[in-house]
Amino acid sequence: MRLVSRRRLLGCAAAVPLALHTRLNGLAAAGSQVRERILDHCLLVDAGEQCVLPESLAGFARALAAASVPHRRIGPDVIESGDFILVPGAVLHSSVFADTLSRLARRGSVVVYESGAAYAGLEAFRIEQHLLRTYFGAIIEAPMDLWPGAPSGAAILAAAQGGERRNGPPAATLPYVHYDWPSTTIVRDFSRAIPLSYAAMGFSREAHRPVESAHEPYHRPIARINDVPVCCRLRLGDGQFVFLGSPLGPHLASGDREAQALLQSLLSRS
Amino acid sequence: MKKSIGDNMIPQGWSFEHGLELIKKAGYDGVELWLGDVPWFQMKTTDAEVQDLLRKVESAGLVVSNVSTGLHWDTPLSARDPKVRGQAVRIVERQLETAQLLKADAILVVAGLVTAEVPYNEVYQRSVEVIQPLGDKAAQAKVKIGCENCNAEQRFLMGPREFQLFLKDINKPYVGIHLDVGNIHETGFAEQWIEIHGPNITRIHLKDVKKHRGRCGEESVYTNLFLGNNNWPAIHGALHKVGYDGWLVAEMEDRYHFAKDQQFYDTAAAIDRLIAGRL
Repeated sequence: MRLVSRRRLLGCAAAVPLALHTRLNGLAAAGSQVRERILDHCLLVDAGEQCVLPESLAGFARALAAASVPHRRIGPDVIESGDFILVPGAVLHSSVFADTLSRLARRGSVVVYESGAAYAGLEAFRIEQHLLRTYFGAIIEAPMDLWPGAPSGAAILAAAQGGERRNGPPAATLPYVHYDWPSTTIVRDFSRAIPLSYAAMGFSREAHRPVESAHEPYHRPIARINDVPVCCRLRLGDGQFVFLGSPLGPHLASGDREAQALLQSLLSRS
Repeated sequence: MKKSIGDNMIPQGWSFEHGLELIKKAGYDGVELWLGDVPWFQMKTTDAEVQDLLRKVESAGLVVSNVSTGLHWDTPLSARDPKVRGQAVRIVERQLETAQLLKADAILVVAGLVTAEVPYNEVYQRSVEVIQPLGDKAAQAKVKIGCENCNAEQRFLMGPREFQLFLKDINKPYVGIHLDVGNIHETGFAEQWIEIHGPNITRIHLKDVKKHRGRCGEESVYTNLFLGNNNWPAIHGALHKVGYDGWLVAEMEDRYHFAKDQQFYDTAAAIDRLIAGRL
């Protein structure tokens, strides 16, 4: 087992062919609705050095462009208020960054944060773990290898944290993430995921029903791999913070139909 | 999902009615009719005779899941000879006509055949050009043309994205893929084909494959469900992911040597397990 270096990861990501525009037709068809819904304040945050999954950033960018969703690409240091803020493939690297995202959510933005921490080094993961707990009350655990036996940096990361290597859930040979919000969708995994803590976050082990109400729990898991929650939705002030512990962007880049449908739902329902 | 099996599986010497009785008794919901492969369903079979076939199917408590044919192996849609191509087109048209008569909404077509004499680029271009107008006829008939992934046998459209490009080039909503999960062999993974093609799948053919046998040995590379190398839990998962709820059609190319009717029962039970995900 060896840790995948960032350079190697970037190299692999760059080698992956990106989306087929034709696969995005479905998303494009819904573009006009989305445009009306999210006004003109969709921000796509390029976290620069802190974006460890550039393929994911490219996937979101292409999906938004194909759907004709107006958006602006900005850096992490200049994030301003927006209705919908996408942060693909990043690691929370500083309290300033975390505070900015938290503040924007509390003021009414929907912040979708896709973690790339499973692909970062141990220290970066620990910082993200700390900041997520501090600023959002989200408690994450060591990354899971979803394909046991595959070379994995996550395994080393978990071991280095003093724990045993954490393999994926028992039926990890079925590589899917089951979402129940914003729509019921199944998306392929991306080899590693960051689980959320059941106990610490008070999640039920029973699958959530996709019911919208004013009495929704403060923290709500929205996607699981088998029984393990890997994505959640947190209400913060007037807005929301959506944590994706399983990357969605690479599937947008590869043209995964269900991933596109999920983004479409996310944009139209958030 | 619903279960079906081909009438070309009916043991030799049995009548169509006898075979249908067995198919029903074994628990299938439908039957796949093979144009040109069985004595009761040939190119010369008249419309009235086809309607009689339908009456027999319905009397047995079944429906026709789809109309397939193996005739394109000898009469390819991609043939250089325009006369042969014309015959191949007529076969597809007859499939569409009979599918309508049989109240089925899908047919299986072998889209092209690469040989030493007829090279890949020719086959690709010709197949697209031949199938496009057939796609319009299929739309009029409201019967989908499912181009089967015959992969190694065809030496054509070996990968799922290449197949996707082929369908895109044809660009007809009534032309999709009849996906055979046993035909992919060592060149890929059936579950990934399912994921990529999703709503473009017209029907699923089921069989298992023993990849290590290769294609040139004396033993068949194909085998019964769950005996080969297909990852059936992954196939179940992929069907679930893309929301496939159509026909699963058994195509058992390696037949039982004895008690031939038993293969119908065993295969039906295996498909039930696949549908239920008890794997």
